[in-house]
Amino acid sequence: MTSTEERLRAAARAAADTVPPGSAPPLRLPDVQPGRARWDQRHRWVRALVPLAAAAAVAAVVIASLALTRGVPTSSSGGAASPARSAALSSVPPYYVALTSAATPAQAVVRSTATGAVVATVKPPRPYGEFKFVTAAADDRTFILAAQRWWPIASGTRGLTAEHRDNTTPVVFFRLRFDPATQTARLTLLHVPRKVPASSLDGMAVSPDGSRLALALYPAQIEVITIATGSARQWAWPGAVSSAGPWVGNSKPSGQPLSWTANGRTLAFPLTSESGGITWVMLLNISSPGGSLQSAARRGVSFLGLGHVKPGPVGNALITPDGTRITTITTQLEPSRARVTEFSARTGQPVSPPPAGATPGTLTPWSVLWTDSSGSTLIVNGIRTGPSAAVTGILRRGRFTPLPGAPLATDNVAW
Amino acid sequence: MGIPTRTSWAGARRSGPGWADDEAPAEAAEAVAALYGAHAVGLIRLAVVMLGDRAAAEDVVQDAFCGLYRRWGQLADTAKALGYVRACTLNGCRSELRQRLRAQRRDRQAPAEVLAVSAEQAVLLGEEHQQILQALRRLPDRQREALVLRFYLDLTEPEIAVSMGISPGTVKSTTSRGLAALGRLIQEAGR
Repeated sequence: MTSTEERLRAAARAAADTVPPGSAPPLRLPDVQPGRARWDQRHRWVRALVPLAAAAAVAAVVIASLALTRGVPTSSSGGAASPARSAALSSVPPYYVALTSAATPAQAVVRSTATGAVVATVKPPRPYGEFKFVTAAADDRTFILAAQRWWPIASGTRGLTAEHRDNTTPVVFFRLRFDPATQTARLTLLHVPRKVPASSLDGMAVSPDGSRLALALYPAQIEVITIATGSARQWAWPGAVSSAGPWVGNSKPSGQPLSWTANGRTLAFPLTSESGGITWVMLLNISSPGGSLQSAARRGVSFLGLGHVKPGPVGNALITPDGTRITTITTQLEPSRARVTEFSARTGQPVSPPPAGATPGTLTPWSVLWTDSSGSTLIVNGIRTGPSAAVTGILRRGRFTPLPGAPLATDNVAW
Repeated sequence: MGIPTRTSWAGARRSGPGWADDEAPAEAAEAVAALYGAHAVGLIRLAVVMLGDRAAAEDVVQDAFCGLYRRWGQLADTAKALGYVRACTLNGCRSELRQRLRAQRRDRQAPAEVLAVSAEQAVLLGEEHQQILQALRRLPDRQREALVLRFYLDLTEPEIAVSMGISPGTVKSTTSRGLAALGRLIQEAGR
């Protein structure tokens, strides 16, 4: 056990001990029981109708299930199929890959975007224990997965040896090819000579044509690997150190930090300063020789100069495939309000109105997970204020269309 | 990530979205109250470690249980309610710290002032513990949460992954980086 761990543990216990047992204040739930009692008195006769209502509810569920299984999209409000929903679904890739961390071993599942149905599943081949990241090419059937060895560790400080072994063991990369006709997925191990310790890999993005793989390496290094040959080019931010940054990406649960333009010439990445939050979205010229990341990349968006907004609450950023827009989540400070914001990649200024439309007031977005060519259709996740539920869906023309069954985590899904 | 963020107490006073007030099932209130009775102190302690302020910690935990109550009817597995409310508590602490930092930026306060423990906590804690907790609160959200879940709550790696909505592999690297950063901050503060 290191000194830092011991001191942290002792300080945390001391802070916790300032809250004595039994000292929690009374729970203040909304006062609903009197209302329930009144409802019972007023509507006692309704109890007689409960069996009938239950039968009607079962029938409604069956009808809704049939509608879903036949692929008939329903509106977000649960009503009949809407043209807007159909249009939204037809404007995004039909399949995506999500990583599941709850299963052992962790799996990669291919799902239908429209229905959320699992259409194929792959497990990491032995001896690999979990998939760490996933990224998608533009053909909607090629995905690249990073896999790592994984040893379960004991809680607290008892598993440090396994943890160190996990962190230092190199990751490997697999290509997942999905065949929509047969609904099957096949893994192929990629030949990548570079050994990347598992804890160094902070994100990755395959080029739209599937030929190159960009890696975000801790703290501020980008490496682009040509998959066919295994050759690599590296850029590193001068002076970046693990303890003080700057870092590529950010240090919070977030969407993938890297994104490509369709022509494969530009790679966008957020750069986080020590104070937290994204400071810039940078654009790396891939044709430049390796070396200084600072020299090879230019600032696409600088959040330092915007004043009234800050990136977040999560803070990934994607460049649109046509290279014209950078889309991210920003938070207006006063009054506090998170929204999807699209910036001009040329000027770094917000585009108004945003191509995907204004973020609905009922949605507090977290991350942008996918963008179409020009940023007019996005897949985002966040919280809906109505039912207060985490949700992933399509933002298009200012309308949010939830995707059934889509994962809510942000760094382990790729369209 | 897949857990709702903090809801305000004012919002929780309105009808829950899962049902109208008149229809709220009594069993939900009973179950949530029972869970609160068993785990409230533990969660308040967790929030105190994260925030350094008992009153704010109690508010965060109240909000978390109100959120649980409002979503009780939507929980697929009520056995996972503790995990849900723990994740909500973490989200609430994260929001609270962000609000403080935002206010700090607006009012041009020093970060140390904003992240310091409350006066009550300062009396109860020694100087060294205060220094360490202050350094803990300066870490990025993800690292701070991973360290507290691992070294204070002694959660297993899969439990931490579920609470934080990240992969088990990311838990390891986050913990490792968090410890390194914490060590550096403590060292800096000691100079």
